[in-house]
Amino acid sequence: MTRNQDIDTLLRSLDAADHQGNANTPRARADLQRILSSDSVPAPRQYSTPSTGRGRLSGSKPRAARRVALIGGMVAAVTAGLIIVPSLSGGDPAFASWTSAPAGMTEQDRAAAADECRASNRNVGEGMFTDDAETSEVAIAERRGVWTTVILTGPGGFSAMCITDDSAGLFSRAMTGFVGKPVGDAAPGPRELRATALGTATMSAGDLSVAAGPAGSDVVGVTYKSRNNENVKATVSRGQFAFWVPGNELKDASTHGVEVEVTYRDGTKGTSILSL
Amino acid sequence: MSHLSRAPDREHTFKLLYEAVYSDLIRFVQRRAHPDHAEDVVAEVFLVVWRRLDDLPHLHGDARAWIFGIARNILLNAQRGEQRRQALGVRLANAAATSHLDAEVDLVMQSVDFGRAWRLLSEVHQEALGLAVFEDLNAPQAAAVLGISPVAFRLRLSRARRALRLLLEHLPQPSGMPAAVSLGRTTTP
Repeated sequence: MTRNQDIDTLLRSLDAADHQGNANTPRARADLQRILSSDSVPAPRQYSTPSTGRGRLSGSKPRAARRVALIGGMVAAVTAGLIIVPSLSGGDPAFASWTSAPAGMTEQDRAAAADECRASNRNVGEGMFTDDAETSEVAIAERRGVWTTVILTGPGGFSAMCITDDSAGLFSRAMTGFVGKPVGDAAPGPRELRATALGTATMSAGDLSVAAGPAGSDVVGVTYKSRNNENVKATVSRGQFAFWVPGNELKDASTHGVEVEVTYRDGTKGTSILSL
Repeated sequence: MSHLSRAPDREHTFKLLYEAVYSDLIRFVQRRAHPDHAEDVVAEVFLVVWRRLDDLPHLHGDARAWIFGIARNILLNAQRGEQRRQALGVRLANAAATSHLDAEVDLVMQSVDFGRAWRLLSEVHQEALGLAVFEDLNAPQAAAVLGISPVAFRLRLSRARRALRLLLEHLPQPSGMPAAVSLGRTTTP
């Protein structure tokens, strides 16, 4: 019993699936109606800001107050911290839609995402970065599945990053990120990368590992080989790079470093170790 | 390979897709997760599909594989934070419980041996064989589910078949144990 055909035949005879499920069972029909009654496109972005009560979704439960936290290696590189708006329910559980390659965004979506990121940073650190955020420019705006990542930059090395679940419009929107200014001189050389955010955050969808920061003028591409052996492509734009992956595989990267492949403007490639 | 109907209305398109793929998807999940959770997982997968309908591949076979890929990600990600897995193992039915084989002891014993060999096979190899045999996906479609190249999938499938053959040919036999007893002790995880 070694021929492929025999193996396939025997394998099919041991199928664990019951072959009874179909789209016409009461449960399947109920699920279909529930799915169709949900929004198929992201709802207008709104944030809960406890001090003003602004932005609570109509008909939803009051969202938990935004927590301001310093998490992982991000602390060492910036003077502020990491913002988390936990998702209560809905959204993209377990980052199911995440993709290793980023997709671009329309100008309209970029502007909306940037405004939301600025708004979310307004009260972080008792408002110490409000002015920086308001005058900041969009360096990166990308999508990975339903997840939007925005990096804002401004004078003095200011940067803010927001990773948002765009699909959670029905109930609440999950977000994580950081805001701050580098402690020292963060300007990288032409072929260098400098991480200002490197570590792991936790959201209701699970852990995610983030790497972001300034990129030298000759850097046009950054690729990270994930633990799943996926080539995770960073977005490199306007002197910044950013990528993230589901899971906690970069939790020790701030101290141990993590290798990435860098593509330079002249077409050559090299490696760089990110650390804080 | 047929083209998926592209109705102008999103809802109509989704309903067609739901009808067309539901049965295959619930079987996909039943083979890889606890059956009690299968309907919950399928509902979660279709919710993601509904929200990403614009990304739906045009060809039916590719769309089906794309949905399996979403299901795989959901099932794999459910493990993240506890035990990171790179592949989804495939469950087999209990050989002793497959009534259509009961009358033929040789076949039952083959099934029992097969079940033992299968459990010794790595999840990566189980997954490759499962997609090819149970889901009947071609190499590009199965590769899309796994996020690898078709060439890499063909290589993986070839290795999986070879590994399973080796296991079947070198499976240690229970010593001094009559066939009927051996059959009665068979279990599947």
